[in-house]
Amino acid sequence: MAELKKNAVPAKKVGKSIGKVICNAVLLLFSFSCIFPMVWIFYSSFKTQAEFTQSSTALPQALNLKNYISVFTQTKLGMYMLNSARNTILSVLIIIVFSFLAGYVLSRYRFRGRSLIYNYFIMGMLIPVHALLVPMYVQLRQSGLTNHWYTLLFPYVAFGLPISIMLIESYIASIPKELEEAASIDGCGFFRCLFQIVFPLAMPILSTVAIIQFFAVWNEFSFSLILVNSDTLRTVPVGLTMFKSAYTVDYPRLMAGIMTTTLPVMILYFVFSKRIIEGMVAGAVKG
Amino acid sequence: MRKSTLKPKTRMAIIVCLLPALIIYTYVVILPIINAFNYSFYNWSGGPQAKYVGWKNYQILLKDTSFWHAFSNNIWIAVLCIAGQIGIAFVFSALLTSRFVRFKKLHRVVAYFPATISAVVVGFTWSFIFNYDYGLVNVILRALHLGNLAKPWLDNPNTIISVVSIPLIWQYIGYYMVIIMAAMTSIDPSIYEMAELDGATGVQKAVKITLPLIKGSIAVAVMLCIAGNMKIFDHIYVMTNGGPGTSSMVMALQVYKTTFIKNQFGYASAMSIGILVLSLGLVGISRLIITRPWRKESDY
Amino acid sequence: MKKKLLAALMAVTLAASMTACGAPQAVDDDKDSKDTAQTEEKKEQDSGEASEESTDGKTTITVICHQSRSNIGEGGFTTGFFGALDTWQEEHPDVEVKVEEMDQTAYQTKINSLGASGDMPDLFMMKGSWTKTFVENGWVSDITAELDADQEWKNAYIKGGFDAATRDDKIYGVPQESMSTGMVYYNSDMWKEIGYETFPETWDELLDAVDKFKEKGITPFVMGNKPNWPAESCWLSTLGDRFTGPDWTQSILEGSGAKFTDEAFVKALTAFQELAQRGAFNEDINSIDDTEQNTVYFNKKAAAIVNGTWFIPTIDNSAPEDVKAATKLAILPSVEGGAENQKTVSGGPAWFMSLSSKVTDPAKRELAMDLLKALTDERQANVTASMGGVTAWANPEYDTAKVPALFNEYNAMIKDITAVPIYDACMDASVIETMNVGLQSLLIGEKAPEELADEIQMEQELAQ
Repeated sequence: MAELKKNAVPAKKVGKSIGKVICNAVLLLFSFSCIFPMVWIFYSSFKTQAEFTQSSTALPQALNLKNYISVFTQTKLGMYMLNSARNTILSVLIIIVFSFLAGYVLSRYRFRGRSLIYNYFIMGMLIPVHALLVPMYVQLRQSGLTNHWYTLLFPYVAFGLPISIMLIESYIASIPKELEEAASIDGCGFFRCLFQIVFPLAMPILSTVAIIQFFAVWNEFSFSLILVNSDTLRTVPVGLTMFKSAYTVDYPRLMAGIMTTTLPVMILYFVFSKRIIEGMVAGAVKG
Repeated sequence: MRKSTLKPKTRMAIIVCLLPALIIYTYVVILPIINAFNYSFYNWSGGPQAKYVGWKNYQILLKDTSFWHAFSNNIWIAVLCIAGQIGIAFVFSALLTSRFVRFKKLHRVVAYFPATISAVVVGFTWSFIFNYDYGLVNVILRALHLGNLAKPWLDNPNTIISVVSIPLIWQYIGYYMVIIMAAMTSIDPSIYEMAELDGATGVQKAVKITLPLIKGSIAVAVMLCIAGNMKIFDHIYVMTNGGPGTSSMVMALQVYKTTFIKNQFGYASAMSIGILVLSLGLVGISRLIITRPWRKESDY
Repeated sequence: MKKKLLAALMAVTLAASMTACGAPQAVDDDKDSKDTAQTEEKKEQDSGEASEESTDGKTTITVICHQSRSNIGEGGFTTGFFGALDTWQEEHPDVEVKVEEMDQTAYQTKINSLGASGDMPDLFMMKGSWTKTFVENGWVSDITAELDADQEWKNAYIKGGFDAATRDDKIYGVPQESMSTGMVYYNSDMWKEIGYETFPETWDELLDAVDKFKEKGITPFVMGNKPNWPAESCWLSTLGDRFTGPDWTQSILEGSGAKFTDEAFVKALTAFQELAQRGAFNEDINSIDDTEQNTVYFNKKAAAIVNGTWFIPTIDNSAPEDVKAATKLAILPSVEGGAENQKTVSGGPAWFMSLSSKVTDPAKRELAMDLLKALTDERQANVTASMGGVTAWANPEYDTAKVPALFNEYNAMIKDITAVPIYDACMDASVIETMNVGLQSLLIGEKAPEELADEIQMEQELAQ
């Protein structure tokens, strides 16, 4: 400190670089904390129940694959994952299309009833789902829509729409519309203009929406529990509850199940996250 | 593009664009709400003999101190999360656009990762992190010879709301970073270049240029944050189950318990409608505070 | 513009809200089944397992349970249950049994949703505390006639086995497993160190022991009360009886005069709170679950756990050898000025196998009852007992040499101990919820015993 006081200018510089180091350190620490839970779950999944009970943080004493063997032989997690994957992919695609169309129109056109419709959608984000489980089940069942492979698409799409429309609407509002107007003057039709000009411009927010909805759907529990009954239609989050028994939970085995079901999604995420970032950058260049 | 100038063709297109979303949303979300609203006028335990009680459930709700206690917990969590999630997300996003930060791509990729994990897994992990004897927090404190600071974190009714907010904030920083960064990318980089020529510091750029330009997205983020926190459920359920006592009880958890443990479907429906109304009110207020100036003159 | 949009919107809303008006009602099968008869068949082809009646004329029986095949081999009851189920299925190739498995928390959500929607599966598991609601809602079938017709079956269960599933002398469920919820598991080595060769037999001795453990920095009792039922189910159900005696509990259950504000019950709450304030429990009592609680006991940081008989296999499987060898069983000590019989422990069956009221076809009902019997009689019980699980079946056959030593110790000592009701197995679910939540506050001194007693009594009056 004494050295620094001698000269004010270097002190400021040093202070600045200390600040930079701290900023970097904070970010690194945060990033590490982001992957810590999965690291913990990963190594714990190799422990035995006894090992885990005796210490929940220690590393496993041996590479014990028993939990994974149990996960693959005693449960149908593979099937549940296929169900989850189907629900997730289809829901996300439908959400993207529907909310892009609606979000674009709500953002670009002023018409009577516009804000009514906008708020009508936004309201959907504020609804606590647990009270809707019974009425929704009754209603879907009366229409014969429960317990099909497509049953869960209904709530997933419908509950995914509000936030997606909101994000897309506000993003499109921030894109200058000269390009569209120019294209319109050149005789470009509504839908051509929509998909050829606006769609690429909205890529950043669309990928944001896709990734948000992907994991929202993948992890959804309550609807999946209530609306389908067949084992063949079960999804991963409900399937994972089967590792709990009445009075004790075999945590390491549960963690092996979590690992097994999360790993493909994690890989998918880390592969595509690069493209998502590129999408955002691309948006910056064009916007 | 004023309404008077809308061509019939464009009108048709607007309808075509809105209808798919409107239909499925109305059928799956709104109709069950109408049904739930209907249930809320009955004293109904799930069987065939529901008893019509008029507005009585709502009268009880107004006087139900446990519900209002849960509501105040929700408000606290929302306030902490708006400050924590959006505040930290903004700072991190700004840092990630500055030159001196290393591993930007890594940070961007990893930061969102917690948001991809299910709330149940997050809650479960953090209850182990907060564990008194073996949890990470106390293990680190003891290793630093700060053992007297080690506490049973989830057992003090006075601080429980702040403690359970930490995992919530942590999990969704990345979520809001994505939204904020997506908005930042639409800012013309030449604005920053000009500001730099004028000698603006990083903080000045963030506060004076970035913040006003992405105000719209911030408003969206605040609304999302309020909406998300008004119906927060899984984290609390897994970490504390609303306890100790009811000190970390939140509204959605109370609806859940009223419905599925106490079998009071009618009252729980009234509670849900109450939550909806309260949330609408809060979002309305937040919108008044952060009006939407970004489209005052720009577009229309 | 506006008109068209609104018109479209209203059309959708209107069309669907036709179903929305009127009193909340379960799906009406008479009205519904005809309409959906055709779609049912389509459904069949779509998803394979969607419909209730199979196309090839097989009868289908749907079963829903809070058990999972992935736990076979770990819990006695789980193994016995699925074993009996599979055997029965093999014996009845012309019947298709569809089982939906899940854990207990999910089960509670699902079964109530199904009930409220009028879609109850044919056979389901019913908790004793749900009996009142399920019966009032007409979800569950009276099976007294079938049981009376088969006296040998009916009388093979432990005394009072049907109590929690009985209302107005009608039986609505057959007990599955039984349990004692309030057993004391103590590390006898640790208790010897503070001068107790056996577990204290009086409350004063217990308080003395608590003080001695505190001096040594050891937690006397560890409790994982985050799920909030252990304090009530494992402690208060027995401790309450020490003060009130079983007549009071019976009167509460029948609604014939006794109140939670009665002096005896308040005394029990007070004793419980004093014990906590004396430092008998871990500091993080309300934030840990059973696994974390076991960790503390297994690492010898706590000297005892009060837990149910389901803990026996856990000790056998997961405890370190020295702890396992030192662990002994006891019951809570007697209190002064309490009930007459102080040698009691809360116990009995908590879950019952029940038949849905929707099974009206006599042939199907007969089949379903046959399956119900298989899932609850010795076919299930023998397997359960041979893995150290307590059964509601009075005399299961198993090899005593192959079960955990503690299980034999338990069976030997329980003969002299009277079982008293487990609160959460028979009292109304909303009363129990209020009690459970309140106990968390009581134990950390945030709520006075009288205050809690008032709250529970209010809920009790609401429930009746």
